[in-house]
Amino acid sequence: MTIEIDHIGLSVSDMAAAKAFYTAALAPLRMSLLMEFPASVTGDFDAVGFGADGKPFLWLSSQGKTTPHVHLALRAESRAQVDAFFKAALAAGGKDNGGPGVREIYHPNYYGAFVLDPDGHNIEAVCHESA
Amino acid sequence: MTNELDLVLDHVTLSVADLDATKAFYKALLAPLGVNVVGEVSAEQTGTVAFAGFGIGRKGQLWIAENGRQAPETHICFRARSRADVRAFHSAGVAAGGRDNGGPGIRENYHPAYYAAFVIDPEGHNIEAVCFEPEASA
Repeated sequence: MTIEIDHIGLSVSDMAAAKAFYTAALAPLRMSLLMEFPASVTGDFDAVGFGADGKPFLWLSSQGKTTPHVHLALRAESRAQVDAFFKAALAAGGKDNGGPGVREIYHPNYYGAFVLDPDGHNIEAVCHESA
Repeated sequence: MTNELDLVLDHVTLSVADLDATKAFYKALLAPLGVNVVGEVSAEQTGTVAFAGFGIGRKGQLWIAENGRQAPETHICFRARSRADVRAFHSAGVAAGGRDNGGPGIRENYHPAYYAAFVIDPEGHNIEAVCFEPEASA
């Protein structure tokens, strides 16, 4: 599997709320807050970057609530990570949009869970490994 | 062993107002990166809206859903294998009706080998191609 998407930038309405949510929800996927640029640096808006191994690949900017929302799926290494993501995201105030489980409709080992972030973005963790 | 960067972004779905126009644009824009249409699902099939998926091989990494124009716009950056591919991406995007949002070149403020170009798609999404490799010798 090659990677084609290097990074993505989403807009959110409340940076403090989004930062808290993503920090908690993404920790089980070994992702953390790596960079922060205030509006005084970007000139327009606050921006923060989440990622792993020193490289941010999910950027959030405070440019307002995105409508319609974006759907973003993050790769998990194990089904346990998907479970942990779902639990952490709900505990951080996310809305249940489909609990952990196999989605046969995609493929027999598609194990995903879906949570809506504070702005309604549909965030998924997915593991493609067999159980 | 899984590449570490492989772990992270599995797929993304953006919303657009005109699926046919956006699909045609992305086909032209992303062809230089080896990315093509890998899946199409009609509104009848989904029961909601039509989707098209772009990727390499069989797996869709970027999906577009005909769910209405999205605002604020989203930014997506694809990895290119060479600086020549970044230039081809930019030319193809502009030729297909995209708006130049920054021509091919080094962005020193990101890092010294960050060679990128930016094109705005027909609905305002800011699409980038980036290459971290040095210029290939002729």
